[in-house]
Amino acid sequence: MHKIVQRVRFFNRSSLLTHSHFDQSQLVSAFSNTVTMDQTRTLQFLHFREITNTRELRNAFDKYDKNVLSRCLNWTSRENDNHHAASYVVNRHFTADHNDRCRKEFSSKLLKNIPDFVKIVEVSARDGLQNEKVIVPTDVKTKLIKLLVSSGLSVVEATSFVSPKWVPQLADAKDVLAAIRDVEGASFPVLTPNLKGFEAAVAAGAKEVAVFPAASESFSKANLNCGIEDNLARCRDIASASRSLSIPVRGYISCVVGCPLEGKISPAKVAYVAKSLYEMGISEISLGDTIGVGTPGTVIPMLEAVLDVVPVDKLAVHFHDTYGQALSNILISLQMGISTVDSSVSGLGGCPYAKGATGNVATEDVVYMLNGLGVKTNVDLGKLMLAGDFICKHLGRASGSKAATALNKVTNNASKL
Amino acid sequence: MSSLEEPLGFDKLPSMNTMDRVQRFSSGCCRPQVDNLGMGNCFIEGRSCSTSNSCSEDNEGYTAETYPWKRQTRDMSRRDSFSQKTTIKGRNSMKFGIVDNSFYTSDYQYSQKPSNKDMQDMAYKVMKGMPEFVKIVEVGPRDGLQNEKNMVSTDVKIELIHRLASTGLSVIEATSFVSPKWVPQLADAKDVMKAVHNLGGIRLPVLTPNLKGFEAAIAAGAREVAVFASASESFSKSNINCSIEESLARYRAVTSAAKALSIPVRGYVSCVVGCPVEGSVSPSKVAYVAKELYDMGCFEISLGDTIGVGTPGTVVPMLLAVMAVVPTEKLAVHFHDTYGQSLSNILVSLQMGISAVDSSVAGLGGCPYAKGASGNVATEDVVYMLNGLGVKTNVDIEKLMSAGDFIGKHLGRPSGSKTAIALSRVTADSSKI
Repeated sequence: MHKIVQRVRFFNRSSLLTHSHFDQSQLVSAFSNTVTMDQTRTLQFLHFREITNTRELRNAFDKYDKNVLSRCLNWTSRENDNHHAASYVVNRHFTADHNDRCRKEFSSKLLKNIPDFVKIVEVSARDGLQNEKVIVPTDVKTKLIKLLVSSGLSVVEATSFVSPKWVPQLADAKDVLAAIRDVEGASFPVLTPNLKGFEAAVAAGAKEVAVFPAASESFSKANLNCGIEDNLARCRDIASASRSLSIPVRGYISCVVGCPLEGKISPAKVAYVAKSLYEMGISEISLGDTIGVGTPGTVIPMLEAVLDVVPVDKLAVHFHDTYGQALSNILISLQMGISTVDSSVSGLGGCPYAKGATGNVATEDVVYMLNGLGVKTNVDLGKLMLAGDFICKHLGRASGSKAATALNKVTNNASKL
Repeated sequence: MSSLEEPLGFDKLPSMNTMDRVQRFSSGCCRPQVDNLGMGNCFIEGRSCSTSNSCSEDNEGYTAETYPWKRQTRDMSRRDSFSQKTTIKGRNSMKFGIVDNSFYTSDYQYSQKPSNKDMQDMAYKVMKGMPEFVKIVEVGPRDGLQNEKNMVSTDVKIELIHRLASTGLSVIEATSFVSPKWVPQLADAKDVMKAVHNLGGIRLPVLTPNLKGFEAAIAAGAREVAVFASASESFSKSNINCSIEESLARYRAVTSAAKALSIPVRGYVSCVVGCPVEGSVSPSKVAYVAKELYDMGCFEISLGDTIGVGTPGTVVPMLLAVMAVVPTEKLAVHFHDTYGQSLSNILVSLQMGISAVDSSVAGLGGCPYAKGASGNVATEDVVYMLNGLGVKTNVDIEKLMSAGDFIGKHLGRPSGSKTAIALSRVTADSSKI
């Protein structure tokens, strides 16, 4: 009997789609004409256990005559059967709705640990633009940031106080900060490589900063001109300076899975850097797969090592999509309990180590997946796409987001058939 | 204790401190070395360490420890590993009366920071059902070319199939015997089939929409065919001009003819998570069509997300429904990357025990329902992920990339595979710093 209950609940999701909370009595009434008295009574009294056992399901299924089953379960190919489709309108149903029902009903272990809410940290204005060939004027940057904030993003990395000699694309850091001073509803961290940069940032009005040590010694020397320990010392200076000003500091760790010079990076190294950052009071540590080579096989051990020394709520993941692996890496991180993801609208920002290859993962693709998983983000995909369109026009490039590309084309063609 | 949920055996693993475990878990397509830094650049210079074959042979001695989550899978290779782990979970939840949170209702103190054991459990849980070997079904020459704007000559198609055959792929969908009126790109099906049907050691299925197509395929030398039903009624009507039931009836004719000739038949189910016309598709519908195809004699059912809208939130329920009526080892997944979701969908399918994945070299084949959007997932990207997961594929990624280059040149389009693009650039620039 228990099994019937499971199966009924499982297969006839159609009646559940219109209710946000599962209503036992409604289900009973829906089936009272096709289900026997015994079964009805059972439905009323049993606790609805979620499907966890495929074998039980299979056994239950086999016992019944297909015709009886099809009447109960509503899966014949009769014309009028698809009333469940009515709850979805063709236009944007694949994108904006929350798939709560899937996650809550099917407590598959695979999806159970996934957090209910994921914070998206938008890095296009900094990490994105920093790695684009075209330099964009201040007002375009400002407009981009405003559009991003209006889509619901609560953290938008605004710019970087690294020397313009290294990053000419962000030479107007001070002006950008001045222009967004009055924008509300989001925090705007800025990158600060050292104390000097930190002071310039604070003077320009920054209320949150970010530091970026590397997990690879060679990369640190080549990219930042100092070893890991020196870098951590600089971070400590910034952390103590910011503490007195109550300015939160975010920490990025680059090369957490692989380094262009050293190859594979040991998870222990990453854990060491993460622990050091955590101990110096960094508010959030973003683990970056700088060259995009990670796969769940390398990401899991790395996350395990870091989760050993830093609480999961302090961690974020920053995967690059250079090898197309970002979304699966993000999924696995979510399954391990991570609830903050860095991404860049339209996938802005190429990979400086593989010319022409892509870099950041596209925010639209991430939001699409999170929506499908029933995870709240507070981000409106439509408005996000507007921000993406805007900046891509100015950069003169196509969107790096597959979801955005598809959604832009599909509304034109949805009635093709 | 959370370990109550897990099958026995994991408790009995020798306890390792973080460092050891971390060292052993360090996977990737290369052999983990004793010193923490010493991996070399083998994974970047894909060319030198591209053969999963050679790496895993070297790794033979490491496999059991390198991927401890695989220990259980190997023991349960005959059984459905998914139901094994959920049976125990089921027992546990009955005991506590709740499904969730039994993880925390034991003596174990719940704290903000998960312990070593919890992390092990979590990683174990998400990776446990992963198969050791995944069969890749290459659909580039059929599903790929069928959906490309530009047509290629018969010679190019034959050369592509030969190149793909040399990569280690064991199944390559060669062409389709659908009327050239509908699919002009594959009008030369007979010629292609005649030229390649003797390729040794490779299976070359062809699409056959009905008995007539089946007979033409056999006459051309095909030894394996494929049929394709839809889980969505409207899509079936608009795409193949008949209802689901009618199409199933046609395929019953094909499968009985095939059975008489001992020809295996593969079944495709399209629109398994979403339909361009109807929107969401109910998993029970998919299960019904899959079961029908399986009962009529298809040896494998490939579940296709035709418009690429699936995410793990819709894929998992769909797979659960289908796995209830068709054995997992008979299932394959065919995800489209139109919304960039395919690799995460493939990952979750692997976690559920699916061990056959359809993909297309260089991501050939756009989406006919969203012009300009991408279609099939790229085989190179899939192989890259599988290599990183330590899953055997027998596919040489470097040779695969060269096949992708070849067809890309002839089609006049860049590769749709990010891995291929990255690997072909990175060797030029890795010494940039």
